Amino acid sequence: MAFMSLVRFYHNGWIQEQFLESAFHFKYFGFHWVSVAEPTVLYGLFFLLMVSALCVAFGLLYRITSVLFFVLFTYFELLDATYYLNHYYFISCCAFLLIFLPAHHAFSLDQKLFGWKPKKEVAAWTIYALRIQFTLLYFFAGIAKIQPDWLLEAMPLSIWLKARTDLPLIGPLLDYEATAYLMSWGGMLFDVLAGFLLLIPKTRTFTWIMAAVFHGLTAIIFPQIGVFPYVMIVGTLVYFPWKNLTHRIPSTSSNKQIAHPLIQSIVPYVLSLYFILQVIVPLRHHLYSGNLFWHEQGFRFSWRVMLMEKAGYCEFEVVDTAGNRRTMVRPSDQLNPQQEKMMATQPDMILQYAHYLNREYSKSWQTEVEIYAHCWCSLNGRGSTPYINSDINLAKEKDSFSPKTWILPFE
Amino acid sequence: MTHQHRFWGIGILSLSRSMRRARTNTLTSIVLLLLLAIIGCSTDGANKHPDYDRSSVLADQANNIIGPNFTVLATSCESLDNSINTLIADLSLPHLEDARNALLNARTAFQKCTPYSSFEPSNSYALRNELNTFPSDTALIEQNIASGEYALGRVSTLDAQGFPAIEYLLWSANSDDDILNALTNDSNRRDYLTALSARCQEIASAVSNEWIAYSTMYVQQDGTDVGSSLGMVVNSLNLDFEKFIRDGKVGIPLGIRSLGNPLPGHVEAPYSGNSKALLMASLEGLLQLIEGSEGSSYSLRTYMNHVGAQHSGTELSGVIRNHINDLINQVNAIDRPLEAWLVEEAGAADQLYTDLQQLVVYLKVDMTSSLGILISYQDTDGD
Repeated sequence: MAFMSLVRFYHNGWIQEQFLESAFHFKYFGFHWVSVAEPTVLYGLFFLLMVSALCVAFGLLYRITSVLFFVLFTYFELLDATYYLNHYYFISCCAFLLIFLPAHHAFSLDQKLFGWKPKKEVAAWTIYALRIQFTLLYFFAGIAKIQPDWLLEAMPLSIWLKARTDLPLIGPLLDYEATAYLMSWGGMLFDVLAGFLLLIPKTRTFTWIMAAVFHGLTAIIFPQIGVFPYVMIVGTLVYFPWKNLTHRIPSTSSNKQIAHPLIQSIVPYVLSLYFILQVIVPLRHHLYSGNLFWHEQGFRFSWRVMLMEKAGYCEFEVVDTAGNRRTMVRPSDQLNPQQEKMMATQPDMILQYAHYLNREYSKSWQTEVEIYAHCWCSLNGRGSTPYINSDINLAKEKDSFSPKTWILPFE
Repeated sequence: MTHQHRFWGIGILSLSRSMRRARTNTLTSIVLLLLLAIIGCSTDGANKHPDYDRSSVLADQANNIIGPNFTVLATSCESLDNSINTLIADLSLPHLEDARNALLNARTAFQKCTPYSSFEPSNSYALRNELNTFPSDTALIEQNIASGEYALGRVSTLDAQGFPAIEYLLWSANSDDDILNALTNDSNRRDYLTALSARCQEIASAVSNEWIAYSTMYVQQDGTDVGSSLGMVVNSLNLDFEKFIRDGKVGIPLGIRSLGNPLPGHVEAPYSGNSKALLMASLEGLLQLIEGSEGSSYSLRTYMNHVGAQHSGTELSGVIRNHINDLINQVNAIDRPLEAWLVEEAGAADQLYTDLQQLVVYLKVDMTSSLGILISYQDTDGD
């Protein structure tokens, strides 16, 4: 699955486009040190990533390749925040969990090569770790949809569906407001409930079929969401029990040969901490006042998918007060269209770009400069309004977890 | 769980078996009931519009706007080429005037074509760069004339060709007599001038001819993704307006890229004083593309209305139309050559730039977003 996604990524030339052609890359807070490697090294790493994905799938040198897959996949994600996708983050999360799971105990090449005896049983927690991960995703994606725009205005689906009326068969239906409302409510209910219904044996199969239909539909209507629907359709099979594997409850210590006892003993703590974080992170936005979709503080890593139609436009003014010099910077000269679009609606990226301009112009003008952003933004069809306070010198503002006061309030 | 299976086929059987079982499950029934309830509620009075045919918008653009405008460009470039040849055959003041008028006509026709010059067929002929790279590199023009060696269409020659270079040869000297004398005395200069107009005509007629075959495809690609015609034309007009109209025609001469120092010589038509007329033509061309052809009920404007695009409580299409008309009025009120006005009326010029900027926002943010048009091939989460 991951391998197919990587092949698609490579085939679309996105390595070149996303990582090598841009002069500037947006970073995640705390991960500014991750930088794009030399082209040959980058392609080499990507190839290694593809190999490790295959190795994990077939259970070859699993203990090593699962770590490699997680590290490399996450590395490529951290290269540029422009391309943040919830499902890439999700793959990283699952990859992290897989490191701890004995997924190479049955049906694996390791077993054949090293003559290990196939284990007919795995500890129940190993399967449940993945199931909890999926359930959290559905649940948080669902409660994120319980908000006025989504339920009362059918936004942004109302905009998006009308743009897809050219589809065969279902196309004409998409023009109706009713379709947008139906899909908004249906999507919300599905997301809130699916994670739990999949846990219950009686409803599992039916829910999975619903999931296949639901994700299949989104794949047809929104091809731009990429591999996500397929990841979910295949991934949710983890809820189903396999005949050849029986659960043992509880057991973390029975599989003596898989890992060093020390590692074994810390695994429960690592995973507990991990899942506590998985619950806290999507809720962190409550610490910020104002409209989350507008200021986007606490937006990422929260399973907020397909929730808003947000578009913006941004230009920067570079001023040298002492020397009476000023110039306007059009970001499209340095950024690719995707970077420009993503930056224009995400304040932390606007700030990063302002800091980049500050470095560049301070150097070339040999003096201290001030950076002002002129930005407009439109959320869910409300119409554009000014987004960033253009009287505040962004060169002096620092990125942090504290509220960004230079974002204009949502009207 | 009992539905264990070794093979997929058995799996499907067991799936349907357990589905029947699941149907009896109360929880599932509740979900289904809720879904039905929503269908019931939301169909009430919500079916307010019939199908809106995006391909009719494209057909109007293709057949009544883009096609005719390319044809006008091709014929006016042909007239320009004829007038230049007549002038060269008989270097007289009336023929010089005719050639100048023909140049203004061709350039006006060109302004109507720039919003769709970033996709095929214009794109592969580099229509904009071939015909209208400005400001001209006058030293390079003189060097090409002196050496008689040049290859029009090369990247290095683009700023010594096209309309701006023809303008330079027809206007830049002190007097009309000087222009005629310079041409009379230098066969290289005459050859260069005819080569320039022939090149314009060649490119314009090639684009116009190819459009005929291309327009069918244009009407068929009626989605909203990047490769769709609506996606192409909206992205193309955004690029044209932001980079080549706002910045190229007003912003750069105003000094927005030169540390605030105005560069009045960088206007589009510095020798003929026609920059204002060309700016007008651009705004009119943009308005025509958005409003659709005369009397058409399928256009970007009606499409915005169809999807209910709003801005500050009113129809977005009306906001855009009023704003463009306001810009046209501002430009219309300019009472002297643009290059002089930009420097002498700094306050009004800043206002014009600010209002052009506002239109960029309306087009690039409001229009593009309300129509659900994608701007790139990358995957997105919808955020």
